[in-house]
Amino acid sequence: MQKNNYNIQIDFTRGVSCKINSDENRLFLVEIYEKLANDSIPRILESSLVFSNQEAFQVYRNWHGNYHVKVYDWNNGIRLVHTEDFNYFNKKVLFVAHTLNDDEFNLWLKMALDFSNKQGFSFNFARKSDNPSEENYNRVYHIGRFISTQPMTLHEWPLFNRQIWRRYFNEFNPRDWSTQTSEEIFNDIVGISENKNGETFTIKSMYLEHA
Amino acid sequence: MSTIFGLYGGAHDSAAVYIKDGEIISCIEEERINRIKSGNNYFSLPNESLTTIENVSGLNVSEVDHVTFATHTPNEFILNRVKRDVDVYDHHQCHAAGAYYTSGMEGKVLTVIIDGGGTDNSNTVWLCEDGEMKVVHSDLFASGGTIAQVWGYVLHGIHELDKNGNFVWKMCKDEGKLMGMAPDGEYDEMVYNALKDVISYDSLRFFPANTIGKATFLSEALRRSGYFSTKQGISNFAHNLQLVTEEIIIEYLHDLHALYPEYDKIAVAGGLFANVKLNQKINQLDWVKEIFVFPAMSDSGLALGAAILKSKELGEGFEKPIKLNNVHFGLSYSDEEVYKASLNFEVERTEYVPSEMAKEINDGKIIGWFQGGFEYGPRALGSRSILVRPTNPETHRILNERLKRYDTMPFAPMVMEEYFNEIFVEDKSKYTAEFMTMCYDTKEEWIEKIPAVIQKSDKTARPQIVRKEAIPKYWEIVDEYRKLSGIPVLLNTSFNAHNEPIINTPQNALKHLVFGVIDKLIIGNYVYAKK
Repeated sequence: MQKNNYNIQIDFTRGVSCKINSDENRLFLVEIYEKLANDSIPRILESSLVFSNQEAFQVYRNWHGNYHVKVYDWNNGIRLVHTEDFNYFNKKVLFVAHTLNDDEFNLWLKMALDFSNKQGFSFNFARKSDNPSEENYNRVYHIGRFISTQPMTLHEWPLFNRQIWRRYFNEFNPRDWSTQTSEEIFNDIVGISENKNGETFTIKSMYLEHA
Repeated sequence: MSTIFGLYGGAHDSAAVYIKDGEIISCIEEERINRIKSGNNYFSLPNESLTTIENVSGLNVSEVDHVTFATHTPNEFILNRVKRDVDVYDHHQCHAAGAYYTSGMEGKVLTVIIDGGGTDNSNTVWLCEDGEMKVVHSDLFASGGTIAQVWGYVLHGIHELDKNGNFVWKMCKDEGKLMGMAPDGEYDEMVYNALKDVISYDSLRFFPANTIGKATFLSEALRRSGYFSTKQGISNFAHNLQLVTEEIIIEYLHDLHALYPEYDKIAVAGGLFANVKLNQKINQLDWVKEIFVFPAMSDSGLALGAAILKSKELGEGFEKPIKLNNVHFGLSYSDEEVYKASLNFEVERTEYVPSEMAKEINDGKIIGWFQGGFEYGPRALGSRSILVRPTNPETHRILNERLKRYDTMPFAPMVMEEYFNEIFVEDKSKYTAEFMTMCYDTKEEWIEKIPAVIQKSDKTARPQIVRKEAIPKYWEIVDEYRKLSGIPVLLNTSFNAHNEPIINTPQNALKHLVFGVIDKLIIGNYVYAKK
């Protein structure tokens, strides 16, 4: 889609990927909202500053529901320049566990089955290698992999995602998360690693794939 | 009757509190002990503050009757350090309990909590009466935003990174500096409208979602455009942010009042209400009979809120809101302990004579003031303060040089209760002014008399009302100064240098004396000076 002097490409085949090409170095804000059936107001899922011609914004949020993407430009004010809707209803979903040990895999299997029964999904399960090939990598979707074009400090991240992750894990594995921070939830379930500067996150292990 | 520890940590402003038989004994913020300013230590845990209240109470955490937490203190801390059954209360409930149960308010009280985010929500409203609280409104964190988030998330973009690659201004630490620049700024339609796109309000809902992302975007876009390259640009931004803040919060409160017209007293907590200028606007509303701002309005106040909730549950105190005489719930030191500490410094001591020290203040000396337990909350309130005469317009520059600060806020006055109405305009909500939580307009005839404590642009001040019965020694030094100068006001600023928490120990204070930050130091019943 051509907008002004830049081009916004949003790709939903691997979650959401946003690439903005421009002749000049511009700053954009990209947001992804989720609208639950019983919610009157869409909930923010992910948001990131995106610099044109640089790292594409990628969010892996393959989830059963309605989604809405908004892109803003700065032009003496915050200008909404692009919107796009998509949904994943009635899709067949494949859970793929990559780096989990047997116990973890079985846990996720149980959760996925519970979720499947609850939501009326059709699920297929597959166990893949611990070191997925690039081909495999491109075929799977990361639940909760969060890539920001700017390093996020440790203290920014949980404020941003606490609500989302607590709800997400409650649905899969109900337990009392009320006293846990989102980092602890992650450490319990999928793990967090930091780069050498302690600034960025790489979420390991659990993937969800459209079949 | 019971002993209770209240704890909070895992983000900014961790703290530990001790309540015994329904009485608040000790409230310790972690930063006062570990000496790392909370905003520089985001994931702090109440390790040293818990040890401190164990020492104060003589009870190990395993021995105390009840241990309470405010969410979202990490489970890991409970499992590894506390190692026992605990009671956990919701983040906003703890904010509300702190505010309501120390408000001293009788009858119906509307308690409003707005912060950057609690457990799942970012603002809540509670109807309170006869010692009971009931939540009636709550905004989910992911569906809406709060103006408190805007204040926090715009800070990173305002300055370029420092030479070490760190943000110069930090969230949960420097919002007050931005607010302090607001009166010097001007209306800018572009910034004002952009801020309205970041946070707006209608019919009890704050929107849009992703206020945090939009605030970050706005701040970064303005920085890239060079808007923040001058002090005036930052002031203009602050001015418009303050304007938007006041507009939407006042509209929100009006809507709440329309729903609950019989509630004309308001208790507030949450980081947003550290904004003393917003609090002034609320106090000026015709229908507001009184506002009380919880002195530890940020997350450090959660520890007390959690302990109060347990105490109330047990039927031990807090049947109705209490009034605090002061918030000097920190560690205190005897004259003997201070003297022993002083032996390691090149100092000498003489007996404290109030009239003599008042003369030194009147002569322009900068005096360290150290009495009793240190304060709970962000303000220095007569326990760890620096006292200066308020009459010299050059004081702001002189003090900033001495303290190596770059404060933009004017320094605050401490005012004898008996003279408050002579100097300031509004005549209500004086209890909250004992904790320096609100600005007041200054009467015309006093503006030139006390220039060091008046905001130059809008002629407001952030006074602490000093009551003789509440803190007599503090009242006495102001009174002695009044006898000499005719002015019942002293300048009071927190006893700390730049980027340092307010001091705790006599050693902290004596160091400032020997380094020349202060000219003399009054501790307990003695005056210390360099040899």
